Amino acid sequence: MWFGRHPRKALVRLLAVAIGAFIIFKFVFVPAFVAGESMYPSYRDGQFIFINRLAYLIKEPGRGDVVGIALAGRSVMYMKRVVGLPKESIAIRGGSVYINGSVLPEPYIAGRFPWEEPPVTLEERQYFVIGDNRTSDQELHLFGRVERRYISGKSLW
Amino acid sequence: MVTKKNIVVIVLLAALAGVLWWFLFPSDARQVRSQLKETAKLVSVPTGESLLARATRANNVAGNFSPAPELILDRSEIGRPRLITSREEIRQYFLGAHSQLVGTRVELLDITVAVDTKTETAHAELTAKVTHAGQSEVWAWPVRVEAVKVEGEWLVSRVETFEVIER
Repeated sequence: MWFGRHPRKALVRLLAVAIGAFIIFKFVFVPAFVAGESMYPSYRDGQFIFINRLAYLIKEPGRGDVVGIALAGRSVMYMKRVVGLPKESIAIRGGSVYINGSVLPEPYIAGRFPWEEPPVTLEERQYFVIGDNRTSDQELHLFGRVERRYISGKSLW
Repeated sequence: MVTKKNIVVIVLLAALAGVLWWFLFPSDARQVRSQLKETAKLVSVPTGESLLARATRANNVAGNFSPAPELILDRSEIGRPRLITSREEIRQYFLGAHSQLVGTRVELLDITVAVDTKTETAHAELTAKVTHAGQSEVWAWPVRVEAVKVEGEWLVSRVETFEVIER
C-alpha cells in the first residue's frame, strides 16, 4: 500500500511537505536558470541557481554580491554583480571599474574589453551593477544604476 | 430540515455559480490581461505561415490597438529606438519584421493591471519574454502599457519599454 498502515497521517505529512516546499521555493530560495553569457565565467548559460530572497531582509546588498534584479516581477530576473554602493562615484576606464577614484580589484573577471563610462554618483537607494563577462562591446552589455527596490535577492552560490 | 448533504449541495452550487460568474462576466482587469495575452499570441509567429495568413495576422495585431496608438520601443535587441503611431504603421512594421519574427515566442509575465473605471482607461506593467525557436537566448523587456475601452472593447493605446538598469 502506498501510504503504509496510517494513510491519513502519511497524507497529512505529504501535504505539509508539499506546502513547505511551495513556500520555500516560492518565497525564500527561488529556483532559476541562467540564460545567456553575461555572467560568464562565474555562471554559465543554462546553470541552475537559487536566489535567496531573504538575503537582504536585515542587511543591504554588498559589493561583490551577485543579485537577482526583478523586472516587472520576478518571473524573469537580470543576474548581475553589485560593484557600486549608494553615494559612491563609479567610473569605468580602460575596462577597469573605479570606485571614488580607486580601481576595484575584480578577481572574478576572465578578460576585459576597454570599456569607458564617465563617472556617475549613485543616489541614496541606488546600486551599480554589472555582469562578469566584459569580453564584448559595452553597448551589447546591460549595466548601470539600479534602484534598491528592484534587487530581489542574492544568488545562493 | 437542513441536512449535511443539503449543505454540501448548497456550497457546491454557490461555488459553481461563482465560477460561472467569473467566467461569463470577466472584470475589466481580466479583459485587459486577456487582450494583452491575445496580442502576444498574435506576434508569436509560427513557421510556414502562408502570405494570406501573414496578412490576416498583421491585421489582427493592428486591430488590438486603438486608432492612434503610441508604441515606443527602445531596446538594443531591435536596433534603433522606434516610435510607431498608427495602426497602419503597426501593420507595416509587423509585415516588415515578419521573417525575423518566425519562430519567435512572446510571453507576457507578471502582468499587473490598474483600471480607472471613470475614464475607462487601464495601466499595466509586465515583462515581455521573447524566445526564438532553436536558440537559448532570452530577451526580457519590462513594458508599460496603457489601454482604453472603446465601445466595450479594451484596445491598447500605448506601449513603452523601460529599463530597470540605467546607465
